[in-house]
Amino acid sequence: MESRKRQSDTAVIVPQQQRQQQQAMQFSNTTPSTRSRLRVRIKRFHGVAKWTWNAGSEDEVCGICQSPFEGVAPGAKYPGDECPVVFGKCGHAFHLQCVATWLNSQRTTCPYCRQEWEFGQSSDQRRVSEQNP
Amino acid sequence: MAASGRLNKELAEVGKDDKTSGVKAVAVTPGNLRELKGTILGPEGTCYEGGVFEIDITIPKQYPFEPPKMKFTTKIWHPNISSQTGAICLDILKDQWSPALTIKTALLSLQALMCSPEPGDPQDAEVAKMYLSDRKKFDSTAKFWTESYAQPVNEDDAITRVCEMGFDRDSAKAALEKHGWDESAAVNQLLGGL
Repeated sequence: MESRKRQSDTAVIVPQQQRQQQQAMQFSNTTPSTRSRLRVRIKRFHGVAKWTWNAGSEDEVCGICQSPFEGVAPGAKYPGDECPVVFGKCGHAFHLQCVATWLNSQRTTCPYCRQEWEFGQSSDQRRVSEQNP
Repeated sequence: MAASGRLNKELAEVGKDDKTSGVKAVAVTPGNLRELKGTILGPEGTCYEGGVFEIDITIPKQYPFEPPKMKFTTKIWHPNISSQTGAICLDILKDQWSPALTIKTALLSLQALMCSPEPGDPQDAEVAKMYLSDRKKFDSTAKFWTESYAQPVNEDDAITRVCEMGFDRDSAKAALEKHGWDESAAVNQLLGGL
């Protein structure tokens, strides 16, 4: 049989009598053998993507609200672009909303290192990785 | 509301290793995260060793952008803590506060302050003066205050003593808890309720 990548989105008819065999093959996690006459085509697949901010390790939290960077800061409704992570020139990262509230309370320093806070480069912080089902 | 997620997390965190860190904080009334009671064990090797010091913690609305308000409710003889009111002079509880600090780190800072007083920046001038001029007298006074005011209450013993006066266990316990394990205040309440 022709081996296909599972991401293939080709729609197909799978003959009834072959289904069981096909499932058995999938469950046993065998690589499709080239000798098999079974023709597997994926009719439907469910894509899952995952994103994280490129700010330290994945389980790191914002030092101000203590929520994950991927989570929502108080005052923001949705994670992601609505609640971006920003970096200071000192290299410390916080949710934009969190550090903005801090700087609005007449403070000018980084909550971590107490250096004068200056916004640093914020380009390309986001890393998108795709995962197959 | 905004900070309650963080507060919940913080309280869970501070309870995790309270045995080893020597500090803990719990809500005074369940469900109200704005009024907390902190406890610091007197650091070993200091005049406060063996004492249990209680701290009133009030979390302001703007927390963590404003520092928690902390004050000793246990009397303590220390240059940076008022011997009269329990008010604390510590920079991180004032202008040096940072939202990256937590209730736990603030309590740990207080514990560190107990280890190394800063008589140059006193809260209680009289205590600071004694610390600088007569260190022996300071040490013995601080120890005496620890022994007099900061002794842990054995709750079971207190309940038993109140029970011996003819009250049932449940109401004795409730009255003691309400009055911070002050036996005479608890008995007064129980008598008033008769």
